[in-house]
Amino acid sequence: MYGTTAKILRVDLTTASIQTQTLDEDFYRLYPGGKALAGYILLTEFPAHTDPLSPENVLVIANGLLTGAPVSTATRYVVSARSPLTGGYGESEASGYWGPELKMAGFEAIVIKGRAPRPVYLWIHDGQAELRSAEHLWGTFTAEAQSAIRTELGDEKIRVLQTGIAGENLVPFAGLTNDLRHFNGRNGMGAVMGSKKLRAVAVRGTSRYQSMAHDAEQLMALGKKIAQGVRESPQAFDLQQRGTPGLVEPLNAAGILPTRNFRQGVFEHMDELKWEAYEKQIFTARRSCYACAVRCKREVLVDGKTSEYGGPEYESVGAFGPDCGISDLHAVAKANELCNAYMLDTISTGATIAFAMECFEHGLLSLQDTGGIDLRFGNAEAMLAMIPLIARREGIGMLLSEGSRRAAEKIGGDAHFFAMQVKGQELAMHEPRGKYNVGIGYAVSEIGADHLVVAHDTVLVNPESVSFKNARGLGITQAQPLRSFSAEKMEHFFILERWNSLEKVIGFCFFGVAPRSLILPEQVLEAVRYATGWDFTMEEALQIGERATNMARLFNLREGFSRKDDTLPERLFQGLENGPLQGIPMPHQEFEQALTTLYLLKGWDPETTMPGRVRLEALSLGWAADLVNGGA
Amino acid sequence: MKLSLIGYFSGYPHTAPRRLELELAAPSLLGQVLTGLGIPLDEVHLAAVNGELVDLQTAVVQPGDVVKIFPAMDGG
Repeated sequence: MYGTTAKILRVDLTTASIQTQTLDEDFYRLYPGGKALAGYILLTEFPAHTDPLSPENVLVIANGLLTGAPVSTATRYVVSARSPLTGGYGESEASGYWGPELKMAGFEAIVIKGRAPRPVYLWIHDGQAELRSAEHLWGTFTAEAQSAIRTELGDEKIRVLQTGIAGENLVPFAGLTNDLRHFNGRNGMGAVMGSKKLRAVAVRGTSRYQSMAHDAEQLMALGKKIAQGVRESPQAFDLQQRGTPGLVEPLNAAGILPTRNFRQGVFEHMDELKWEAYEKQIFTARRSCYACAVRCKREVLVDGKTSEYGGPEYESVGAFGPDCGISDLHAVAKANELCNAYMLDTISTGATIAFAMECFEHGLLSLQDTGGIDLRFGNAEAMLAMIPLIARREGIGMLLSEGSRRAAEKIGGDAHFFAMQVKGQELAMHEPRGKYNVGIGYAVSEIGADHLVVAHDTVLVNPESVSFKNARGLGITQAQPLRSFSAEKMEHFFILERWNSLEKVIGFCFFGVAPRSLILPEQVLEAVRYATGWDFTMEEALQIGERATNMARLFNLREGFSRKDDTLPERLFQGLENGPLQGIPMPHQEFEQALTTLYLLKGWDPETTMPGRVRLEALSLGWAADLVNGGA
Repeated sequence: MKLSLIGYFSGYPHTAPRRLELELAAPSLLGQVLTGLGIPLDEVHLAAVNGELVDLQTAVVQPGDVVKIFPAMDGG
């Protein structure tokens, strides 16, 4: 088999046993890495209804099919398990260098079960793997732990994937980081890792991708062509020049910059947070991921020196800035650094603090509750004070470390109205009232509110734009308004969802592939063909994406999820308080009708969201139909 | 007229700076002004004149106006 090591490392932490499994090509072509491979393993090996933080949870770390290929943005790996935040299928992707390094070390995925009696880390190097004590790393910040691992193993080129203090403390929105600058932030995968007493996975590999590829020469040529195209692509060029913080000003102008816990869409202090302020006040350099010419990562100053943890992405600027009513960019950068040192998801952390601020302003939390902290919108010191308390589960942090949904249940009263979450996961910093497909994505995503389910509506409103033209290869033919729930728009959604799901299977970054960026659909297919030698078509590509989504859905159905969980916070069905969209709610009835339309397109029962047996068999998932009671 | 190019317009086409000051002899259609600068109108998602969003097809700009144009932005 070309383009893959076809090897999975299986680790049982309870018994300290390590084994290697080799996959065959027929299996791998159906589940070629990332979300698909993780979904298959979770569906077949996770004992249903088991506590996410018990030893029985199954933690899967899986490279995408193309991860490590010499093509810009083919860098992603997925971390998956039952989520302690949502109780459902858990998943989080990251880029960087760790995934490619795992491949060069001889493995595509790691399946981790059990719980170590004492803290350990996993050391993988050129086909070998061993568990080592991590007792000296337990309780340390992520930068200290990474440095200690590299020092004791005697190689500064080792790539370290790890959780942090927040994961050790089982905070359900604790994440993972690799190289301190790339994050599997969402869904609490760090807490699962912490529950297993596994602090880190260090890898080093010296294989070369070229020796694995079916046609390395053609793949290299494609990678070179794509790299040269970055400056000619408006979206990719913007990611290189400004990075994701460049989103702040355009979203504010459109009235869809989440502000003060999604009450408002325009932040009056936006000028202090926009890219020009970022560039002037904190920006020091651009960084990249493995073999990527887009180079969207930022380095920044925190406390007067270049941070070890990289710069805040747009999501972090949004969550700690406008969503908390804060205009101090230095405080935002500090909050980002703190989360990364403790290893908390910046989105859920910022959004949960914004939730608490609104509760505080409504008297649902008192000064006594907060330990004397004046937790009002706009108070940067209060926001910063919350982060260590959450990570260490101390004081008010004990309550907030549960995330906004569970905290609201404990606070009671109207607090549930202020919890901006779906399935327990906090909304990312994208306002669905101005781009309805984002709202559908938040609602239907199996992992809870996720902003990367489909390309956002904004890039597909003008049929003559570069983004729209790039999407034509997917079968997108007709422009759709931003605020529409039409049946035609749901057809687009269904295409885009399968396409984005494929990206999570084959390891391409959202910032590489059209319509978000420059790599055309046909070039994605070419890359797979050159890597594997498969006769890979768009039909097969979309089917792989759909298969992965269906497995995640089946996992959730087995855990008791149903259509009622595919919903949105009530606030989104009311109007924003300010800006161009002031007073314009998302129409609830049309939203529900759009969901029904989408489920029918997917071949799912619109009452239950159970995939129909015919559809499952068409996706080669007939074996999974009976995993859920009432399989149709 | 003061024109701010937000997002990638200041580099796409790659010659444009972030801010331009233009001498307008008379009120002009904004779309025509931008086309004259080589800015691809199909990439302009929003335009604001003196802080108010306007319709790019019909907006007329006056000497002294402050104009911003924004590209379509996705997530991430």
